[in-house]
Amino acid sequence: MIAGARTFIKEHLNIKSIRNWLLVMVIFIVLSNILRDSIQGVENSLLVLMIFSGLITGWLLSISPLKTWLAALIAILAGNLVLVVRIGRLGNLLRSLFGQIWLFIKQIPGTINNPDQTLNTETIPLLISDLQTRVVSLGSRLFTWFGNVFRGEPLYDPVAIAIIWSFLIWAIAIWTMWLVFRHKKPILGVGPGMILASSSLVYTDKSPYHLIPLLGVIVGLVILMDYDRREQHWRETNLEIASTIRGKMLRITILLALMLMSLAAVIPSFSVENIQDFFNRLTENQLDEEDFVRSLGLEPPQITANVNVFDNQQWGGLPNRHLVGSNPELSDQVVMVIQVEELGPLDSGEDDNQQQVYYWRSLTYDRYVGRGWVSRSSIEVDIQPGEKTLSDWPESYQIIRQKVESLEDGQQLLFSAGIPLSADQAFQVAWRLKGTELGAFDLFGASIPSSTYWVDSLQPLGSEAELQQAGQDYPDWIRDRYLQLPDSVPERVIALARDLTVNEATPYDRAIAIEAYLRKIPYSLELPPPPNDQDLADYFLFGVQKGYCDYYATTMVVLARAAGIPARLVTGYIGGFYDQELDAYLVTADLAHSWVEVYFPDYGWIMFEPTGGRSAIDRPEESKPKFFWDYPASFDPFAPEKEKTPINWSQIIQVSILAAVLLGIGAFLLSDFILARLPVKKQLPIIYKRIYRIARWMGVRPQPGDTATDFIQVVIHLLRAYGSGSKRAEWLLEAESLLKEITWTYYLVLFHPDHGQGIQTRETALIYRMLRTRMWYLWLLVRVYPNHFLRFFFWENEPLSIPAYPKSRN
Amino acid sequence: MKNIQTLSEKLVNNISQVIVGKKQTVELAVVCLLSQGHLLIEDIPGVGKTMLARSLARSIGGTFGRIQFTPDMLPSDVTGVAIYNQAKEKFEFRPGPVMSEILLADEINRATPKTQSALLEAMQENQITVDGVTHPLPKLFMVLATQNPIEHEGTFRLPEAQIDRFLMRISLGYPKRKEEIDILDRQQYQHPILELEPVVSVDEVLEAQQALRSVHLADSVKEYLVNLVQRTREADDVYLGSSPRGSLGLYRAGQAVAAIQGREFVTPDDIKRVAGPILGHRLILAPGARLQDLDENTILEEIFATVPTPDSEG
Repeated sequence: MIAGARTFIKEHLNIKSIRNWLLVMVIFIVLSNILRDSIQGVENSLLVLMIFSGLITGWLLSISPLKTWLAALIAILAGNLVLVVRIGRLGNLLRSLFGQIWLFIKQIPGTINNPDQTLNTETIPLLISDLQTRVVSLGSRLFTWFGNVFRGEPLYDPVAIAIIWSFLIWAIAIWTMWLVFRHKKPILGVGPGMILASSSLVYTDKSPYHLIPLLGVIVGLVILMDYDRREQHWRETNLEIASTIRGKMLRITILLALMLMSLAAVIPSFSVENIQDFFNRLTENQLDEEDFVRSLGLEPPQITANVNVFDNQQWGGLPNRHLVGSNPELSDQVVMVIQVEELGPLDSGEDDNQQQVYYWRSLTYDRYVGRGWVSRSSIEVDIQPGEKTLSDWPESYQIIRQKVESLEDGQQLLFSAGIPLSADQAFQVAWRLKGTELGAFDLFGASIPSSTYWVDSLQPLGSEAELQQAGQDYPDWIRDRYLQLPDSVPERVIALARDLTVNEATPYDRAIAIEAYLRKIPYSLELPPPPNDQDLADYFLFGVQKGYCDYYATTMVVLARAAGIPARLVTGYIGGFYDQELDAYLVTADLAHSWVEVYFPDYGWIMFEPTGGRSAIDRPEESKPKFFWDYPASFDPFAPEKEKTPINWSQIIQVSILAAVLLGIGAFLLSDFILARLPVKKQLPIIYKRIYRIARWMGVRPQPGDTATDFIQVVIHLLRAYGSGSKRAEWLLEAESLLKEITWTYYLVLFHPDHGQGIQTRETALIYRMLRTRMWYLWLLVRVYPNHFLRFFFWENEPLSIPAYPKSRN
Repeated sequence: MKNIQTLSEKLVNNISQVIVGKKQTVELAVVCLLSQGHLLIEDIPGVGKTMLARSLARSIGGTFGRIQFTPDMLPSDVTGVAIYNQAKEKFEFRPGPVMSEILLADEINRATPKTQSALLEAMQENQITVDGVTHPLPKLFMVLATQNPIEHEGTFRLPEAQIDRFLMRISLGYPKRKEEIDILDRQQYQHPILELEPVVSVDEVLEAQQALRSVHLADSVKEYLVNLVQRTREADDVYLGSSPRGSLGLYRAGQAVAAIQGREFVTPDDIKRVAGPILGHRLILAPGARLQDLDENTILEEIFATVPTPDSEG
């Protein structure tokens, strides 16, 4: 047993295997890094799980004696198992199932002894059928997703995305381990992973430089595995090898990998257009490429130089789409730090800041499509610093000034408590509609390139009494858009809406009724994925009957619209921990929120909070200002400090590599220039030292007692050995006479009584340069064709005599 | 220096008509001549030692003397003797073979020490004294002595202290196959030496000998030279290394080598070229060395490899 374990360790856990493991792990870590940023719908924990379980399973399968087809079958089954359990969130279910079975088993001896006691058999079949439905629902979602793709109507479904990508990653992990550990073919093994990584890179804003470490590791792996193979072969054929080979090989490997990495860093990559064209040519369907790509969970790359933040947001799943179907990644990582100052016109009182719950909005959605939200097209307008988005607005708006510091990169959305009015830097707003009547504006959202900015925003307010009297005189553009519901909304939802609002007199009361009804539904984050043939609101109200903010908000909008009240969905963040020292709100990631806005004529879009567990919205007593108040035209003259642009590491590396290369070339040319102008006595020793150096690279190592003549004899024999076969033989063999010439000059400098006076240094430098190029070429030949070297050992020992006077001199 | 170069070329080419294929050795002999040194040829019988001496003598048009040493030879057989001339009623000096410009002393190790020392003294002093009368030797005087390294019976090996007198020790060795065939061809009808004509005069040689003394040695080369010699004294397996006579010989021979290539300055290559022949016979190996199968050549090779030359990388 122990011997068996020992052999196992020796064979499978030796240094080489561990090394290979490590290298493969590095590759997959980089891969997961890239994937994590490009795919949405596959969160970190899922990725890590699939990768690790895939790697371990693959490794175990590869070192087992199983045949390939059997191993493949096991891999697929195992992968599906892991997939289903993880994505379908079957863990708890399975646990309780097994717990019940265990209890059941424990009960059996009891019932045998005591015939009165009955077995509790109810829960187990229930659990099993629950399990069954969940697994089947996962399968059907995947099936429907594929069906939609083939029909040309790609569908966004986060569950399908998770399944597809997880399986893909699992398959790649298995494949890699199989090929590396069983077949010892590293290139083939990491091929699919590399392809996946590089194609995913297109869809993220990560620079392709992340592939470079991958390249380096892969080169290292390939070389080392190849070397292992050779070493084994040598051992089998009883060839004696020097013990230093391995060390040299390792050094060369590392050097080569570094060289390739630097090369790759400097050479520019393919442009995004090329890849897009390629994809376009591939798809035969009238498949909208962007839709398809989005349905995979990827963000299509930005083509134009003006990055349009809004293009990405036009389509929403459920807005916080990564929450649907799997446990939301609720982290308490701070995403924003916001300082607030209420400018007016209502006097809110300074101390109230701490109790105020601000709704930081980013985007609003107007169109419900049964499974999620879409925004109709919008027009982007650039707003200059200090310029106002609106010139006029109803009186009942509170102006809030805030300083937002975003700690999360990539979003670029502008967050504000209310409609953004003006900022201290240039930003862009996306209007779905901007009409001429007062209050006729419909904002999709705003984006600002920097992560720290001051923004003034308009918060619509209304007291209960005022809103109740608002009336139902909705303008056309409101009617057209905000009462729309798709046909997929079932009757009972509409019936419910009607039931809830039948006794309410005013639209405001109706909205309040709906809100109150929803607030009673329990809040939960643990949900199975919603079925894709059922309307979301229906599912929430009559299906699962629990949920989180997206569900509440969506349902309220649906019910409100069904009841004839124009409403829309708003997304953003809510609240935040008020930090006394900073005098700011620390907004964490888990405060992502969606809520509802209802339109009231003369008052605009008023907020409602249907989510159970959240506090209701405070309505002020009065919203019309008591005095005339002029909104200040410009921002605080002490402009906030320009935020430092984050360090762009890839650019720095690129520039420094370029600089190093240029510097190297410059130093090289400069040294040549100086060399030609040195006095002879200094020049020749330097030249000859360099010649010795180049020869040393070729493996020519003269002993101390070897004179220059002895030395060049060796080099000349090398030249002749390689020169005869090479294509540039004539050019190369010129080096022979150049060498002799330089050696003669050297001798003159060293041994002639005049010490080389009268020698033309420029000419000498020129000869050296010509010689140097040829010697570099010879070095290349020696390195590329080392076998040629063997010829070199069999030259005849003819001593070389230095000519009395070289032919060029008389 | 160009003159010396042409002179040596002529000599070498001329001698090479007789001595086939041994250009390096012939050059060494010419170097020895120009350095005013004496040459010891240690070799197996029948490879051309005598021929070398004779062709050298004929090439320079100089007088050629030959002593075939035997154990019963007397010093007077070397130096010459005063004979009473009855007609003139006085003693006349009949010079011995030593009074030639090129002297071949064959099998010098077969002579008795007394006879050996007579010759060696002549080599050193450049004169002989017979019956109180000093007779100077010719201005150009070179001894080519031979030793057979195989036979040891009945020989009196030259003591190392005396062997120092010879500038160089060379050996010819067997010819290569092609060369041997060439020898057969050349000697088909008659020996080529009979056709050999002088190509330079003794005076030219004497001039060359003086002229090459102006060949320049850079300080680094002198240091290298002395390093070499000193290393022979310090080497592990050497009991006694080379004396300053060796350094001097190396110096002069180095100049000669440079001169025959037409150069005005000596390079370390020149030194290395002649260092073997010049220093080899001056080393006395430690007793243990012979047991280890080391001989002077291996030790010298090691010294050459390790002593850094001024133009080397090290």
